[in-house]
Amino acid sequence: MVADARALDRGETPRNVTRETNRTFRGSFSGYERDCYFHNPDGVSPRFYPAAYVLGLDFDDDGRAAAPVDIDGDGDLDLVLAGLQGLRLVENTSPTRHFARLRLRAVKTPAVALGAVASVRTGDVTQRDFVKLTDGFQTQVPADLSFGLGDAARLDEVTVAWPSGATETWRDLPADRLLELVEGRPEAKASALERWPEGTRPRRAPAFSLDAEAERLDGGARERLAAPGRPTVLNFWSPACAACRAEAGELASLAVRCKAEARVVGVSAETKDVAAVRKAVEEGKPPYVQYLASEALLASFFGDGGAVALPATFVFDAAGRLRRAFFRPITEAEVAPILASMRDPGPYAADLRTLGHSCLEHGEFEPALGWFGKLRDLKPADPVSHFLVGVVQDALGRPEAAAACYAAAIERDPRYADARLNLGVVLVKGGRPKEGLAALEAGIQLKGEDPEALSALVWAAMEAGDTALALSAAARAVKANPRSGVLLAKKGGLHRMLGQFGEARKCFEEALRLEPGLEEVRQEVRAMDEAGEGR
Amino acid sequence: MNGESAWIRRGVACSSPFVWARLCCPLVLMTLAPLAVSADDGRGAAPPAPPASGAASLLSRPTEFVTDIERSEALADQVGAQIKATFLAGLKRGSWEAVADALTPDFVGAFPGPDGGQAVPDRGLAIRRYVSEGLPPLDRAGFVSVLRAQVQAWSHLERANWRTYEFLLDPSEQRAYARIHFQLGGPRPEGGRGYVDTSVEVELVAAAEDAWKLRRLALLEGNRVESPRPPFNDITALTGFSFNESDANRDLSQRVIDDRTILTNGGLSVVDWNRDGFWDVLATVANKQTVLFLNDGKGGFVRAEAPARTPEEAAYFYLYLDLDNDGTEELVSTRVVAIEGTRARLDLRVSRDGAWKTLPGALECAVPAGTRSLNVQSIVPCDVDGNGLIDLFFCAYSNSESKGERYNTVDAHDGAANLLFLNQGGLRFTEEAEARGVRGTQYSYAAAFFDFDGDGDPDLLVANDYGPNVYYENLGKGRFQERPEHLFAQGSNYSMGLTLGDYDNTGAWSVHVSNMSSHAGQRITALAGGMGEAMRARIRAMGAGNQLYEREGKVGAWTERGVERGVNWAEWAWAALFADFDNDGDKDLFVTNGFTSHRDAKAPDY
Repeated sequence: MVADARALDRGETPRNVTRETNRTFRGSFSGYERDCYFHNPDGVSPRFYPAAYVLGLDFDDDGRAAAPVDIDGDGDLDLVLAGLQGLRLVENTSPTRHFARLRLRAVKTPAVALGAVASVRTGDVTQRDFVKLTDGFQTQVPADLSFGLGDAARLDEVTVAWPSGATETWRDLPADRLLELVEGRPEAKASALERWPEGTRPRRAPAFSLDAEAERLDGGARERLAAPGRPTVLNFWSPACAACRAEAGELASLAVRCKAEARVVGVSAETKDVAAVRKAVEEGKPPYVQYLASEALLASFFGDGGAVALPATFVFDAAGRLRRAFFRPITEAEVAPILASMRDPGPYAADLRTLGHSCLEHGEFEPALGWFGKLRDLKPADPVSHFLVGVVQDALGRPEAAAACYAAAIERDPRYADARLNLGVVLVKGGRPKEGLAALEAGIQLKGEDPEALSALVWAAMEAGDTALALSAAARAVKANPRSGVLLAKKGGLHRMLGQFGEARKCFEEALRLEPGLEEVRQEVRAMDEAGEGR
Repeated sequence: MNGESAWIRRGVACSSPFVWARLCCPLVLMTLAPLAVSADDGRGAAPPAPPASGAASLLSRPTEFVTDIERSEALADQVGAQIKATFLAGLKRGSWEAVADALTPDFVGAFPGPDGGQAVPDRGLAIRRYVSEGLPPLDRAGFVSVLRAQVQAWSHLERANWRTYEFLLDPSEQRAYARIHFQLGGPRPEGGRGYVDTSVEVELVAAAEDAWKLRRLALLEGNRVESPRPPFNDITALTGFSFNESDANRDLSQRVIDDRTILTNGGLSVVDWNRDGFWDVLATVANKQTVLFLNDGKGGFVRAEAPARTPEEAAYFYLYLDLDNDGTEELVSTRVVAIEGTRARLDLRVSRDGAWKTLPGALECAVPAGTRSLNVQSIVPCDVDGNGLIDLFFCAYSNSESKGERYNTVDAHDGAANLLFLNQGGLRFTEEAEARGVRGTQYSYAAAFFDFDGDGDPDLLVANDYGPNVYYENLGKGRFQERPEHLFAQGSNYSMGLTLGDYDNTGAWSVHVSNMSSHAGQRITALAGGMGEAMRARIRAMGAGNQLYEREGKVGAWTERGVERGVNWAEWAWAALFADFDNDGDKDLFVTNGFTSHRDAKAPDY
């Protein structure tokens, strides 16, 4: 009827739902499949070789988007991934080889040089690529072109076929540089890539964990650094570290500002000269708790035998998961948004809607009511959320509760045709046919001569005992979609019920002419023949 | 005519949930379900044989076998589970007696040792290519020692797969012929990793009560790849690269995944947002959140105000580029701002005083009357008419009327109409898809503009779900002509992504299309009789995996070479990227995979 599954959305949020789920099955659907990497060996190779596992790239997320990007500016392409489970950044630490990075600037056509083809020749190898901006799946990729050069320390030739149709060649360019090539300008500009400074690079240590214990500077008691349930900012410093002193103000300010939602913890990496540590704390008076590190603790954060780079700050979420590591001084302005990102944003309406729809479509009305009820609580001003609760209440056989929901939806959007139509249906069901018919008429007025809505009106009119209205509504439905045999058949059925056998036969015959496959209509005609109706 | 019956309109009415569950795509089922039900005596003529068997002397593909899909699949599951529990588990434990015990005493195998086959020249990885020819027959002990040699350098088995893509059950149900993807991988104590990836054919016998063993195993083809150390490090947690989400919220998202009601999530835009020379990332989850990660140039990201502030503003995809040639970027998204009557307003945002605002009237198009929603998956830019202004192609997936009565999963044309917006300058666009010959109403996920025919203007390839891909030739000045006879328009039926590259520096471009590959789908396709060859070929293509179109020379004929190049098997694939990740001078290929992973990793999979 009116509120078929497709009518549940009014367009604000396009649904992205597969309907063909088998409800009896609990489990994955092509789950835990691993990403693939097909390695292209040296020279012209007849085939690629699967190397995702050996390269550390066979993630089992439900993968979707992927972008190759030199995120750290070291010359090789890292990978950014976005799957159903979230984001990943995968750093490439392949052995250093030469590379070229081209930034093409068109002059006669849009500067981004979309579609320009660059050919890079080193020795007798010529590589090609083109400016595409989008690649793979739902991804905008960097506009710059990246070429690996292996051992070649210079580019013999770069030829660009510009979108304007012009072709230009630059000769003898340096490798390992960002090369800016401007259409019509014979000089290439070569510059070093902007690069993450060595000391600040993320470093994988054996065990970044909040579960470690440390000695409190004020009391000497050993405690776990972990504070379950709250994000933690863990700062390593030492009295001798000038940069640490410089960032102390930022940390203090952060500790005060984020007091309610997170805790800041200082850990002195100076383990021997405790007096100096105490002195520094007394002078600086940091407004957060201080611990003394042990060698084991330092090893767990900085690696065994590795240099302890100071200052260093680790941000953990409330569940103790690492969310950011800084191997440099921090600022309040950059840490506060990380802490803010851990706040519970509350449920997303999109999830509640998706889960509700899924339950509804599978006839699980009570759970559907739960999800849509939550949606309505989240978005009380949204007419659709009231409408959805109404649909489920109706499905549960509660026409009065449904009517109240539809009324609430209409109150929020008086032009909500589907809500008026559904209201009409449930009012009729609830024994209020007059009001129901009025609501249906109002809905049809808003929606136009919609065959489905008119079919509902036929049904409601019959329920109300108004056969004239039922017949006129059936005629309007046929007029709205004259090619539908089903609608004609319904009209015929109505005529037959009213003893208008001639009209009924006409409708049935026309219905069969339009849709010869309507077996039920044939049966209907046979039944009429047998009963001698209209003969 | 009562009100209840039509509350729920199910997408596909399915007579056999069992067969349904076997296929990663519902479409095969629509064709196969009636056949499965009508399978009469459980026997049938052999379908056309796949590529010739490698070790013909060891095994031959039977000509008579059980074609009752449910019966055959039940045994395939049972036998597969047993081999995993005995043979594979023995390998994982390093229990060579258990491995031997999974083989019959009269076992004969043909399988290479780690140094078998041919070395493939490469400076980065140690690669060996294995072929079936010339492998000596091995008895049980000999085969076990070859396997042992394959894994002995590894501290343990980290990857062990046994996946059946063909299963022909003898009518006695005491014997079966199968083709298997057999893969093993593990780390070396000194930090390297190795991986053996093979296709084998096997004969399985019911040696005792419900105890299936391997009687024959012969390599079809394979390779061994080793790296001195895995060069890719996941630095996500170190760099602050994660969405805003609480545990409660993660749980809710996981529920949606567990429910298998999500297709796509949202994408990535890698741009230098603040022009500091470092690449930033705009990442988005549709209808939930968009986060702008600014690369701080010092080991990670800082979060900045994103262009979408409410969940409703978050799109599947953003394209950030300068559309009016004034030197500053605009932002176009897949979000549909509003549908009013027969007009849809789309989302072109401009930055004014630091805030991103949708520009009214910039991107509008006609939609069919009654359309309540429109789902756009991605946007591809291209100056299609060569007038110096960048136009926009919108890959529209579905609308509120989709998956209705006209929907079918083989060749669906009730998705939403793709949109081609011609840039008129001054950030005004006119939608001209139909007028310019782009008439697709399929479920489109991705597209690429490229001068495929070498005549100097960009042609268009559209990757579609539920039906073939579409290739449009640009006749000049952005007038397009569909070319249904083109190879690109054949064979694919569930395409998710596209990438192009001259991967071997030959001057000839290749096109990689991400599709689905399904072991179960392949098994079932081999069993189903009673269908025409054309339909069989089509259905086979659906589960057959990714495609690699190559051409002879710069403008020669196209040929599909996914299998030959070893890139067709990638499960349920989405993104694919040609890129030179090791800077060795040729392009590699990265492919993302997977549909929905239930929170319980041990729960069964379709």
